[in-house]
Amino acid sequence: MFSTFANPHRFMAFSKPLLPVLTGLAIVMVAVGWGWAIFFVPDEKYQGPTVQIMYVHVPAAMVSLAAYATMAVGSLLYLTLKHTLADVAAKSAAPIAAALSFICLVTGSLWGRPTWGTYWIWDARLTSMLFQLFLILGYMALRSAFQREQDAARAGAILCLVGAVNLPIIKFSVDWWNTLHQPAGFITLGGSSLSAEFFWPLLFNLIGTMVMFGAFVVATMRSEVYKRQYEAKLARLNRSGE
Amino acid sequence: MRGVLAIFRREVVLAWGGGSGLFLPAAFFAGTIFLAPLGIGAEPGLLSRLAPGLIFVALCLASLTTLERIFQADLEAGALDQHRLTGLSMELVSVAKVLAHWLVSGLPIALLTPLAALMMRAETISFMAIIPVVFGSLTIFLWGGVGASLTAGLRRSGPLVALLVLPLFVPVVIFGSEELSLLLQGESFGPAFGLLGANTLAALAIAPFAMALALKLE
Repeated sequence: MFSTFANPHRFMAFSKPLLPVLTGLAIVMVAVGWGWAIFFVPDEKYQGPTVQIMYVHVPAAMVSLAAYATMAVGSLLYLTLKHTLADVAAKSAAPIAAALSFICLVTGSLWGRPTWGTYWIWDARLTSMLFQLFLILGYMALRSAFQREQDAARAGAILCLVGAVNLPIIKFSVDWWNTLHQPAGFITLGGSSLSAEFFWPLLFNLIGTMVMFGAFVVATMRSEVYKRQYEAKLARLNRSGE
Repeated sequence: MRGVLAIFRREVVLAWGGGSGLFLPAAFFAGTIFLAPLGIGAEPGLLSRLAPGLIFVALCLASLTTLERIFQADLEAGALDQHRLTGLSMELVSVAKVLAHWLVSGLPIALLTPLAALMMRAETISFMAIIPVVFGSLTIFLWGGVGASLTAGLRRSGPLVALLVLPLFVPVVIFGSEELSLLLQGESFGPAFGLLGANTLAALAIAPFAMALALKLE
């Protein structure tokens, strides 16, 4: 399956009709999801209206983890199978993963002020999200430091995989160090600890954010493929001109 | 294996002969540690409570001062290509270089730990305090070597290496300072030491392959 879609031309042909569909779906789902959360979900008993922050915060956190996983899978496929499209996917997911991590941290901080009484706590999950953001920023900085795209791709892929191996260790060590954040309650093995009136809009917003991530990644990948095709053509023209 | 040992010896001799290579990170470490009380006050209880964390933070920062030099010169001079052409395993070569670098720059810092703890008004003088810093610095230099190998082909890579490797130092700082604070209070080794050792082993298992892959030229 990977090899079928690894051909850039096939990807471009396949993603051309896909992109408007994903974009439209993302806009509708995010608009409906936020409207649902803001106007129709009742205030929570203790937290009041601040519980609405959850509908941005939790999807951003979950999708940013998924985005880092996307980068890691893309990097692994690039290193093992040498498909450049896998590298394009990893590169395109990075800024979106960084943005989602940042949104998660900012909304979490704003939510923490009224509910925990402070903007920032050195709590395990906040801290590991912060370090994930640093890893992604390091990935982007490393890539941009190289002149040649292949060098950037290989160095970035190695760093991303080293980071992927380390993220669980970082997460575990920070857990050991300090824990105040409530344990994950949205989706657990024993069912959700949220009541239905909060659960369904959250699930809807999660899927909406996922679709939005997909639309962003496909759009960024397409422009990256265009850019590489243009550069390859330019190089060919320069060679033949001499 | 003999070739790898020769590389190890050459690295140590070069670093030793270079003079500043030996003392620079240790001096940086000492400077950081001795500046800290001036900033936070010399209250004994406060200082001794902060000592383990400050020692590990200073260790991380001190390691960054020389990391970019591990591979850069050899890559530019073509020595790494020569090693590859002679059929040496690049994993072993990179580990040998990192270990030599650690022996010259990391180990002196670990040996300075009891003195640093003493200056930070620790309750007991414990030579055991060297041990967690030995493991911690070894892990830090292995991950640092990964950062150094990724940026070996770049000019002015220092700040970039710092951004790449600092997140990888998190577990070492947490477990290392936890263990060090136990030892400085005169207690014996706790579970954090096992976790620190596990981190060292994980770094030993992963870093050589990442470095060899990163140093491979197209």
